[in-house]
Amino acid sequence: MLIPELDIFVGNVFIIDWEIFKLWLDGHECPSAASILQQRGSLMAGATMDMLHGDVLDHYRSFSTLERLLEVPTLFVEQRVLQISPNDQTDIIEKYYDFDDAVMRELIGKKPSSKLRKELDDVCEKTGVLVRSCRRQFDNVRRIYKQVDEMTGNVLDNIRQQFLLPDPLARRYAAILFLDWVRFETHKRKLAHLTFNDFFVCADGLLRHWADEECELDKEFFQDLREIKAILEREKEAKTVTLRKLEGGRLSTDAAGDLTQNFRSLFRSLVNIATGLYRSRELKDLFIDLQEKIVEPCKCARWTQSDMESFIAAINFDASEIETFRRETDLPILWRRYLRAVGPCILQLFAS
Amino acid sequence: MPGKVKVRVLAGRNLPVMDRANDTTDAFVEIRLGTVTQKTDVCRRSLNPQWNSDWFRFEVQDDAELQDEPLQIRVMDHDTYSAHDAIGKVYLSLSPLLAPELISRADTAPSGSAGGPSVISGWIPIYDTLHGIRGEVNVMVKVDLFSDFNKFRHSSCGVQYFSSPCVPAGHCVQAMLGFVHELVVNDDPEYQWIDKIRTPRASNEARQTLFSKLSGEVQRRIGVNVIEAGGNAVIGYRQCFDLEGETGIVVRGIGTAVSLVRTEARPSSPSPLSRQPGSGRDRDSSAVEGSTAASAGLRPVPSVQLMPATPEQEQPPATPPSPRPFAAPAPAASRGILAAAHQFVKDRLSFRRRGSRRTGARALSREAFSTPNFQPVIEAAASSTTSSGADTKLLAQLVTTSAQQRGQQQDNYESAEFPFITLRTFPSGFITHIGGTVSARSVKLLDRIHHPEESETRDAWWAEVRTEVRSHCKSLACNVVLGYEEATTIWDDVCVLSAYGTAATVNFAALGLSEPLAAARCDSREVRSALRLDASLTSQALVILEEPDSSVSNCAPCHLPYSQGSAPASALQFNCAVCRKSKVPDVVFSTIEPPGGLPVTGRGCLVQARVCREKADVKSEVLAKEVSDRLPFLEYELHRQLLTKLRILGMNALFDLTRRITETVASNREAFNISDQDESGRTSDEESEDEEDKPELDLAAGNKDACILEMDDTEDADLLSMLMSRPPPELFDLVSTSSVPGVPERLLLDDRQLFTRIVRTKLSSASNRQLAQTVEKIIQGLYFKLRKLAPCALCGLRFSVDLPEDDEIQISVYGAALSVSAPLSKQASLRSAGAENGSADGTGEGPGGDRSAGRAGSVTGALKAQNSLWRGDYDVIITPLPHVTGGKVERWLGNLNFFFIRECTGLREVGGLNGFMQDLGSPRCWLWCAHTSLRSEGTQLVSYFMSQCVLLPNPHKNQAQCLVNVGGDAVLVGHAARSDDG
Repeated sequence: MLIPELDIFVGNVFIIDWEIFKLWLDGHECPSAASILQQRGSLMAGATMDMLHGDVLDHYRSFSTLERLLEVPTLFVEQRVLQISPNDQTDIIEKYYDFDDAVMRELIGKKPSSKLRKELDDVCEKTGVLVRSCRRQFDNVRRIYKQVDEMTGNVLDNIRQQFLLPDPLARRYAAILFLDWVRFETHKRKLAHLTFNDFFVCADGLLRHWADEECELDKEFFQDLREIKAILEREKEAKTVTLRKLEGGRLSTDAAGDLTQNFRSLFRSLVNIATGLYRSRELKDLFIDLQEKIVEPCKCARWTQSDMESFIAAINFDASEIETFRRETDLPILWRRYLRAVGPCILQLFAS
Repeated sequence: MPGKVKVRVLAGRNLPVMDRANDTTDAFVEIRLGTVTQKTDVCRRSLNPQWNSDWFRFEVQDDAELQDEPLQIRVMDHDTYSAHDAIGKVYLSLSPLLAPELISRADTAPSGSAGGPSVISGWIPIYDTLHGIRGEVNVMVKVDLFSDFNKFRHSSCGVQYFSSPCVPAGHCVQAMLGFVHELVVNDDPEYQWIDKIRTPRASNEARQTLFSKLSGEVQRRIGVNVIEAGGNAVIGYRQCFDLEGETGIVVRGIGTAVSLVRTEARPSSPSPLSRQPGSGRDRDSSAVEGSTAASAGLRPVPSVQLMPATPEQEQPPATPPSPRPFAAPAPAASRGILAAAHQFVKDRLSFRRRGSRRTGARALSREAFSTPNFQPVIEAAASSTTSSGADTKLLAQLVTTSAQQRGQQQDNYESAEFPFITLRTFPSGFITHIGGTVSARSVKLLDRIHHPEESETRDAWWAEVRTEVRSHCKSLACNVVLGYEEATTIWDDVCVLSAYGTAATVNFAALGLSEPLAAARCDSREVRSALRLDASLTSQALVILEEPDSSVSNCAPCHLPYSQGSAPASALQFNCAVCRKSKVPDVVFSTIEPPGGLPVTGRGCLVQARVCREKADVKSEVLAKEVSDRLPFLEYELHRQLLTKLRILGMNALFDLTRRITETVASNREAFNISDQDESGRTSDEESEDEEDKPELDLAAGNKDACILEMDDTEDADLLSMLMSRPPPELFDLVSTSSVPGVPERLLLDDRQLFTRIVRTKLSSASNRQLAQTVEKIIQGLYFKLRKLAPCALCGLRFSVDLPEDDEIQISVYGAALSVSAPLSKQASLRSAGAENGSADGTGEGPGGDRSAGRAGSVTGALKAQNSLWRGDYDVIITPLPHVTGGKVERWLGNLNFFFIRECTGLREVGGLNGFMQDLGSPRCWLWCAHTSLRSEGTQLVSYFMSQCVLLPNPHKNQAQCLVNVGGDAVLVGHAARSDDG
């Protein structure tokens, strides 16, 4: 049978087929989408492959019409090219802007430049996600990056309002932008095993505790953090307090033994990282430092996750515990603010 | 009436970037009405310009101009050095502003009733013929009309138009005033010399503006006819554009003139005829009052009450004899077959002198004026509502009296010129008898129209065809033609005019019969006959069997309107099963919706006959001759196919069924049981037939030159290909009517989707089989596309077939998908199970049906949840049905009719022909949405139609052009009434 020169099906309202939409988002070409659907048994009785193929084509054409509009979601919800119910509209936007963690893992911490866009083939190879889908995800990030970069005010709100994204997704994008802006080092070999979610948790923590609503890190805080060096003079006291707090089997035997020996180096690393943050180069290396100096030694000493949790809780000294803190009352505030963000980061890195 | 049009341009949004250098646009707006153009300031560097202009005023001497001329709003990009670039245009028809918003008084004179100025305001999409939609513009338009009572006006402000082929909900017909028709001829700018030097955009726009103007003119002229006849509205209004190519454009409109009142304003009881003769208008409206309530049967009233007009009607004056002798009954007519007429006349020869450019109603109303003591005769003939009493008499005479008397009555009708009604839905009791389908065709040679103002030849052609239809109608002893439609098919310079309808007698007396009876009725619609390599005809039929268990029903529509003796011997007639007095035909064909109150057994389904013929490779005259020679055969074959198909479906088995019902009527009232038995019985019959046919098929298939002489072989091939047509899957119903016969209306929940499918494909040979396969495939494709909406009923299906090239066929179909509540699917399974058990060659439907039956439950559950979210989710729902399923029409906002031209100069870039058409398909809907929602929120477009879709692809030049004519009635819908049902 001949393939018709023209074969279209247009409805007054656009009833989206989420299954086909997903395949389209995943970057499948029309024929492969059709054969996937066929394997899933989407063919009704009496329906032929032609029909399925035609149906997929119809949808794909509509999607590519929508894609132009989806670049500006505020226009998309106003568009009347296709009549879509408000619920579907929200879902379409959300799904279009959603991304694969694996792909995003490759993109974070890099400027979304056209050079990076050309490297998407590697990303595709690495993640197994089709290159069309990679491009969409990259373009979404780049679009949000460009637009939000030029705006002032609350970044999260900007993303939510400009792109009409639901809160959790907007939060993820805020973290991605943050990682890109600071250019955190995320691609060293030692960090290679970390997932996007690890970085999201870390970045989200940093944003909450160290940055203002515009995602600007509190530079003054980093300057002040240098003062924390003073605590090193009272290292022994800190060790005693920490060990006392962890008495009574709160640590596993491995960790307890290791801590008594190596408290000094651990504690010093933590403080050094804190005091170095005012230098942007060291700030960029935050994750790699945490990984190298805290996480890896402890892992070698066979600490468990709960050991780490207890340890972080224990060194979160308050003003009464350390002599230095009693003297200089702003130090404990700095220390605790520092740990509020870094603590969860360490735990997240340790967990993975 | 002089009038003042005031326009304000407020703002624009989402305009395209016209200045690449700085990514902005310097937009301004030109407003044009007639020859006057005014401009706004330029709003520099903005894609969302704010003009906030003052009011632009246009003073118009004659409101006729307002009706003809669309308001043109053109958005431009200002260029300092070069010519300004066009962004796009808006055509705004001012007609809706001219009509009174509601017809609220029995007094139908609309002239003085222009109240405050009406306003259109809101965002309107800007349309460009080359780029589609390009942003929106916010405008306000007001019209002030100054009343004046000039009698000789050409305008018809205040007449309302309804595309809906039924009495608009919330209204009642005071009087049916008859068939109105109008025709305007013009040169097609596409074929003028100037087109050679114009840009494509200018050319398209010139054409589109002209179309818009012509359409306005036709509407206005019809309106004048209506006002002269004393009406205030046109229902069942249909407008067609015939693109004759070299010889120009013909815009035709037909409709039924009525005087309409809102139901609330209806007089509580029929008033006596107090104000008799006076001015033409007075006379009409008073006569009308006499039968208000019963008219159109909105509230059935015993006919006895409706006699006041009779004395005057009984002896109508002799009117001029008919131009044609009374035609003898066509041989096939008595079986309800299309009485085919065909003539090959060169237009020059068939020229018919006519004083007035206008025909029909105009001429008629002149006659009416000359006999002031009588109601216009057309009322007696065409409507039977105004003078139902008289009509009853006429009918009685028709049936019983001698031929001589009949001739006299006929003369009476003749003077009504054309007793046609373009409606398709009638209330119960309105139709007394359905005589059968009547149709007439005429093949003409087009020649250049020398004076665009003279539309005489076209008028004469149609007059001829209509006269023929009328005479067929009479030969079936019927007095009116219902569901009347006209169509043209043009190939090069050969044009086929066809007109068809359902001959019937109508009155109210039939209500007296209360006993049920079984009969079959079908709806056959000629879709199109296309000329070319082959002439093809498609036709749909719908069969309904009456249900025996309904206590208030009406058998009369199925009774034969003529006596047995006068029918040719070949016609099968049976005694009506219940009353045992009247005769019923074995099959009834009609072009209308099933009459209300007609009980139905079984469920309706789509029956389609398709015929395809080779055409000799000849031109003009010879071609016309050949076509006209072949048409009767095509018609015959179509009819035959329909009939056979009915048999195959076991649905025409009226005789069987009637017998069964009479046997069981006392004890067993389960209709489904009965019809089921019957169907399986019939299908098993077919099984044996099928096998007999098979050997013969090979012969037929081997013989490619299937033509008239080898009729038998072709037929067998047809038969087989028909057998192959699959029943609709489990969860679907497929009908061409506005509701599924045999399914209680409350089970139809909601309008879910309006779908349009256009397929254009190569047709390798002109065989019936390939055509059937193509169409079958399209239908199967519909099921598949709409699988997620199942269970649903696909209603109001309209097919159209075109042969744009030698070897290409374009089929478009549109319809509405209605969601259906669960009980329906159970019944469906019962039925299809019956069909499948008996199906001869189980080509995979059997197992498939079972599988989908298994799925039915879960699907239905999911659907329930979906349904609750459905309403209010979308701006505008569009439906081809004349009513809103699951809702109630609260107000009628006006008729829309628009002709789009869209051209594409980068076909490959937009994804080929498919991409182009899909792109066009959706903005088309979009434009409609915007136009509709302009008037108010909560609107819906009913009676949507797509009367033309001409696609001219030129892939070698990477170009394509498409012409689409769409329209409908905008209504305001209330959903609350039905919400608890869903």
